[in-house]
Amino acid sequence: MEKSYIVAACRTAVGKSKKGSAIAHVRPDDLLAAVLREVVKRSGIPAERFQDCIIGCAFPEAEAGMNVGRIGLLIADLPDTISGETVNRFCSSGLDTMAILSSKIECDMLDVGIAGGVESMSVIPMGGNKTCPNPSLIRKNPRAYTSMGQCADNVANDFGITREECDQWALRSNQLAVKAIKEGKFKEEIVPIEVKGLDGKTFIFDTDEGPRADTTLEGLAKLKLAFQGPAGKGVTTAGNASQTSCGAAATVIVSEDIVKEFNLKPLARLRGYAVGAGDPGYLGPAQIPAIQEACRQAGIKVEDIGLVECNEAFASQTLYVIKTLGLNPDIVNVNGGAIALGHPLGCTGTKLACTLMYEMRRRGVKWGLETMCIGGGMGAAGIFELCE
Amino acid sequence: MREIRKAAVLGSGVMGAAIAAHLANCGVPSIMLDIVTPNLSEDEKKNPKKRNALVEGNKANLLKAKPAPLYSKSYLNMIETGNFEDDMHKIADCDLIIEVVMENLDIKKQVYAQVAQHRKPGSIVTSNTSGIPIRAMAKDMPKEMSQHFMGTHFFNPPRYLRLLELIPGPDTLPEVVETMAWFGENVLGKGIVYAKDTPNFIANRILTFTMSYILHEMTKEGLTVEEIDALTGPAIGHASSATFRTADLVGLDTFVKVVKNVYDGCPDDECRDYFKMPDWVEKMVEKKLWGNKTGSGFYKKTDKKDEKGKAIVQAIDPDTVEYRDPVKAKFECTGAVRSIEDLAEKLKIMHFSEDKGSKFVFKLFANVAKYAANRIPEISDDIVNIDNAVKWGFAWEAGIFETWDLLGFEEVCKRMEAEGFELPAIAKAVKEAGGNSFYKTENGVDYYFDVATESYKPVPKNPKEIRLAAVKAQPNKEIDRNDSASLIDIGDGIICCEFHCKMNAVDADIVTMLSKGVDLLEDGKYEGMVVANQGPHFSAGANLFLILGQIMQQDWGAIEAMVRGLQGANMRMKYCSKPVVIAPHHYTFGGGLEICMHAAKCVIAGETYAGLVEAGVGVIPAGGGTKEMTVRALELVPEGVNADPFPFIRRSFEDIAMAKVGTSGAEVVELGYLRPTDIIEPNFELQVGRAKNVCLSLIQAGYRPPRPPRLWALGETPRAAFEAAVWGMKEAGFASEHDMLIATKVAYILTGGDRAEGTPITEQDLLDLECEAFCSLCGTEKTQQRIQHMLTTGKPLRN
Repeated sequence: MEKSYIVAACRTAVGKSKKGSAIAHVRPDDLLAAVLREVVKRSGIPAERFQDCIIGCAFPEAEAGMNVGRIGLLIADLPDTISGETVNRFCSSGLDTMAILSSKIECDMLDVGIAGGVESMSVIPMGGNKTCPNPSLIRKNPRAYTSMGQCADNVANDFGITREECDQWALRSNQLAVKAIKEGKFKEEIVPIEVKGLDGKTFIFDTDEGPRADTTLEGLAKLKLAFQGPAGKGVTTAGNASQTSCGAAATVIVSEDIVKEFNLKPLARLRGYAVGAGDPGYLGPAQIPAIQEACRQAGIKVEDIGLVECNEAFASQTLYVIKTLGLNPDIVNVNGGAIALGHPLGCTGTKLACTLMYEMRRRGVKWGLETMCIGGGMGAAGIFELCE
Repeated sequence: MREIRKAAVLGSGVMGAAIAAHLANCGVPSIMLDIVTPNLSEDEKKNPKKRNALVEGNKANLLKAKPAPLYSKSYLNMIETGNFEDDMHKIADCDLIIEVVMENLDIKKQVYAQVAQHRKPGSIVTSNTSGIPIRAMAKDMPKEMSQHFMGTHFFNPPRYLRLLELIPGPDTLPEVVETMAWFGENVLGKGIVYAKDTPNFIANRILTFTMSYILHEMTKEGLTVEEIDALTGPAIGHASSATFRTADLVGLDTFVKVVKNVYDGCPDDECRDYFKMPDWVEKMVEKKLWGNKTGSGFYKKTDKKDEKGKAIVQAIDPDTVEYRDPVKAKFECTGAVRSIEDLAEKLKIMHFSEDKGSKFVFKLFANVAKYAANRIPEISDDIVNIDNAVKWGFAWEAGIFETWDLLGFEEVCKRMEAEGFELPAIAKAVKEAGGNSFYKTENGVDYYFDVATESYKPVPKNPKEIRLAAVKAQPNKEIDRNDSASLIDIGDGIICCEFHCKMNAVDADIVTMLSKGVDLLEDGKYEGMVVANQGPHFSAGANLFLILGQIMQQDWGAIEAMVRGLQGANMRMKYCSKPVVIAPHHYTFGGGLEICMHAAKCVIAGETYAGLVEAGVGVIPAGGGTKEMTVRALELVPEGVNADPFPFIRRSFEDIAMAKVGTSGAEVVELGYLRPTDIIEPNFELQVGRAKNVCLSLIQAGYRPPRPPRLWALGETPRAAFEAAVWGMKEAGFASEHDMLIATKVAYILTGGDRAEGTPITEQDLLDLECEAFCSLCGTEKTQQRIQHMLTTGKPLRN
């Protein structure tokens, strides 16, 4: 088996999807093109040597359609000899693409490729432009189509996660994210992009829009349940759920030969990747077997993990994972999570990998875990090993 | 007459913004200006956004204010904003400039000086003052401006209260008053009252006297705050907030100021002493017990709850000026009128009974009537303007002199004399002229007694107004009638089908009368039909009492026949060779709205609250409503356009499944119940006349009935999307199992039943599906519980 190395990683800053926000009007394929161009440049490998580009997207249609993996390359003016592909496993798509590319390299199918993800939740709404559930499935097992908010509340209701601890986690997420931005923690990973605003004026977008310095526990406690009606029960509010967002991220993954040929300094290696699945009415539980399996592949124990990025789709789901695995919360989402920073679905898998690898390098942590819940009752986990 | 194409509103406080909103409701764009945001830093002062933050904030508040000042949120964009310093020049293209700044003469004068610089000649300038003399404001104006200046006194909230008092100043040209009256009535839908430049004009002068009289006399009579409210609310045809809940809403500080206007401005008023507040009220003012704005007034809401879990509301005790626990008011008279609907009957019991409460009510009436009568010609030339002012300004069901007539002119005179009241001059004059009422109707014309000429004169009417009661009173105009509806000949070949049963609930008699109307059109006896009424509501929906009876007797045949009857009458109206124009207003629910959906055109009252709310009582719209919501969705996808009908059918689904109600004519259209080509009429009094004119214009334009619509089944995929959505709502506690069942049936009809996607279908296919769903839901226990609950409580049951 060959070895694969991640040699470059970058992302856009994440924008809110609310109308009027900095990049809410920008097409996802344009966002993607910007990071593709940059990541190729950062890799130090001539563009002609790239062979494939695998891009994750949770709603790959309309402006993110027509195989955005290929379209993005062409918009970026990269050589037309690079092939493109689009992959969808909802929220983990951007991590899946890295796993696919790494494994292809390790099977000697190619040497140099791009793995990334993109989403604009303002341009293409969650659920896509047209929802068409299968008639027989909706009658047989409507739980297959449980909304994400309901899944988050189901986890809280059925596994005893309280509103107070969710709000506490949300506050922590904002505080850490604000601090990280202030300290310039994301500078390395973010690609500043030039955006033409709605007023026709051009500006540089280089800072995550989501985090709020003024969030308080009292403010969070006042928010109404976001997904429950008069007879409903739950914990999830607009304050302790991830934000809907826009962004793109990409990595370059290569074989050992390429590392040697261009004398590259790899960031990390993806040493394990697994998915789990179960009851589609939950978010969180399926992450547990995925994490255990990914650790097994990497030959480590959960206790060996020194840093975790657990995607904060919802505070309830994040807390479920931390509690069930007995993770040390002090090493989880140390620079804030999606509650503060946003969750551009198909992009997030790659985005969190960027954040994780740069922080592993800063801290000198050998083993890092990225884990995320996935709509439809699934979960994913990847184990990263820092390259010294 | 000057056309008013654009207005300026100077001042963006609660009243200014609400006036701008109502202008927008009626299609008049405006620019609303206010002062530059106060307390800005030097940097902020250079930022136009910051400078306009105050006015922008007040504009944005229009979306939050309750009751909604706007017919539709989307109308907000008809209001431009700016500030007095930077934007005053923008009033140059305005035909009407309404000043609504602080009630301070110096400030108003400063604003008028600026207006004088920028306004174009001929533009009308008005003040919405309620207390400052018009002549004082006009004094230093350039002549051309003072000739175009007058008072226009709107009542809060201007969308909902009909009254607009017009007060000419010393120089105002007659055509300026005429223009404002025309604009106010025909464009803004207001009821016009002509007032004089006297303190508080008409409505507030009468109200301040009434309130002051009560404040002085209640303690002498030993009546409590709760007792006064029991006696002076709906029991005598006044608003349910009665005396003290209204006062708490207005604010005692404001009230005292307005009362002082009279005390200071009317030294010769024979009741002037009443306008000096009694000590206990003065103490309340000192203690800042001003009402809702300071948290406590005549009433005080406490944190304590009663056994039903409702907050305990204490009331003030005038003797101690402290709050005490509530004591429920009990009077024989108020008990006796509770179940009576007829106003005259109610008034007689309330004024002529023997108990303490009734005696006070009569004394109050006698004093108020005398005071009002003595104000002619001081504040108004006639009784009509006084009566209209209190009816439109305070929603009294009858004016003062109308009340006198309803009680019996003679009876009131006798009782007044017996109690030692001197009859007011106008009452004596009526007697001397040989009359026995203030108003009378002869040959369909209403007359009032004019005190100046001591004779009866016709009540001025807008020529466009048709009053159905007056038409019916004329011989041979009511051409058919049953218990629930009538056919009335309203002239020019047009008949009106008028409903007149309780809440105008749709029943077999209404269906029969609609059908008979169509018969007359098809037989060539008439050229068009208007379906309209001038009751409190167009129709509250189907008669649930009848349906429940049939369910109890398990008479499914009768239920099906009733459904088929309404469907049939509606389809006959829709496809009649002559136009049927329908005029919904106020509550237009369920079956009532289904009737409207089959019109050639609707003339919708601005104040219309309509929706297909059948789900609330456990059924689905089966009078053609669900069918029309399918038609209305699919017609948005024209032949030859490859567009997805799903978002349109989804709107129809959500409307019906969630029983959505539009709270204005505009919103009813936005929900897709009625069409954008239907007409919205802000003036309820002119609605029937307008409907008739629309009907005539359709005839003149060569009306032909519509073609059957192109319909096709949308099939199983969109239906599954609806089912998934409803399942999600059930999981989240928004919907019950029964809601889910009802919604599933709605989805089934809207998507064409069990047919493959694209299969052509007819309106009849959809009507059959409606009928089947309606009957099957009637057979469920939960639907029966919902109907029962609605009949006993008036509220929907979520089971």
